[in-house]
Amino acid sequence: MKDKESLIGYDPLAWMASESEVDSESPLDNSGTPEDITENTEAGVEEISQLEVNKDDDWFDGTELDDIAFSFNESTVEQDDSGTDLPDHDSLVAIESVSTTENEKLETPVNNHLILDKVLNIQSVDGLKVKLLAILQHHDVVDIDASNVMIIDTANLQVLIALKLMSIQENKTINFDFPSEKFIEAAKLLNLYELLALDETVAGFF
Amino acid sequence: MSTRIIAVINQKGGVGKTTITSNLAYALALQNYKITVIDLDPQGHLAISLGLTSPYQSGIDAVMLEGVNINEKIITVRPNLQLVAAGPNLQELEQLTASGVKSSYLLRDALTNTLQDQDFIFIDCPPSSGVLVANALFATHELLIPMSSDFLALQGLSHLMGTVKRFEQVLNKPYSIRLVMSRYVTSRRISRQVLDKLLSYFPNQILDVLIKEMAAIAESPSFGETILEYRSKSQAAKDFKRLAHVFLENKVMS
Repeated sequence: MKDKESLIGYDPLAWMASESEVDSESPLDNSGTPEDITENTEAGVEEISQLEVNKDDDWFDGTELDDIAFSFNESTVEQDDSGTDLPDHDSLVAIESVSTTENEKLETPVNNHLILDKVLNIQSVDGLKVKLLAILQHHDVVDIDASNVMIIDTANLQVLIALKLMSIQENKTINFDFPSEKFIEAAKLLNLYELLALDETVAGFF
Repeated sequence: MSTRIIAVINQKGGVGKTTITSNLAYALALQNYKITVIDLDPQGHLAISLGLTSPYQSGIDAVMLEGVNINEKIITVRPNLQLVAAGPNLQELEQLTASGVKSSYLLRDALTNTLQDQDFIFIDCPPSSGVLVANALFATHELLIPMSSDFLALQGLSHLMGTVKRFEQVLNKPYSIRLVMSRYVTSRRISRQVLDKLLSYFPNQILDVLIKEMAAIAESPSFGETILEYRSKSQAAKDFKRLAHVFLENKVMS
């Protein structure tokens, strides 16, 4: 029960509670050789450096859309008649079969409406993916309220793109309702505005 | 005793990183510990706080960008306390995306087998999450995180801890993390609630001192002095003396 005297509403550190449970099950070990650590370090730093979106960098342009959209798997892309690059059916099945296991742990979603959090970062991406896949499995139309979004990173945008493309393949619909200005800004930065079918006219309405 | 390297880090600005660095370092220097402070913030406030006002003084920028030996950029600012200034070109390091991974090792490499006569090296980190902070995280395994007692500080800490945990996974080694409450306003209820929230997530990791918000702390940098020099008998000075004590003794709140 929320403490009525609390002056702290949203708890930005809440994810750490679940992380600490994971850490206790698989603690960091110091048994790696220096070479292992160096190799892991270099690979890891590359990954870490790509987490930061620098507006001055041209690291992303439209030609990289395929790589981002299909990052759930390593399948090749098929061209459909409309000319839109889509994941092939086997890959989508692979995504769904993997996610089914995760979804078995969830109750069937009650409705088709999902409200995105204010902060969508690397800590939230797995949860977002699971939720969206679960809703998409059970509904033909999914409404995503993006009005609260203040921060969204590339990982979360990748999730949204992949789900959007999946919905197209399955003749389902994903709508982004009242996207926040930050959400639109991030989508435009990565040339995803049209693919996500955002409506800028209602941006920042809330 | 081997040299301890501590990154004073928080990606949120204005929490007191430079204030903590300069005053803690001087408090330790007064106890005859040999201290080096490195200003990794392109804003260069650490040097100003210690009395160096020249914007052209090169320092860690030359070390990291040009490979200059760090010993050539050391400036003695107080007895037992020496400074490596940020330098006017440090911001360029953030642009070294073409160098990829290697640009994140520059500080670590610069500190390897140097300054070994020092007891502590404090790295004053910038309020950002780019290459400079990555350099600090690779150079050390000890983090000192100043925390102000307001809600947005929690948000900033959340972001920082995400970054730290990613580095821990990459390095396969945990950081030693200590938090210090800075700019604490005792008259606000939210101050205590933020502290309680932090205690719940960081048990036995918050140093047992509250650096209270005092006007004198904000005034002292303009004179190039630490609070221990500016107002040596003030409550603020006492707070930083206690900070030095709990830091050395690793006394934490329970």
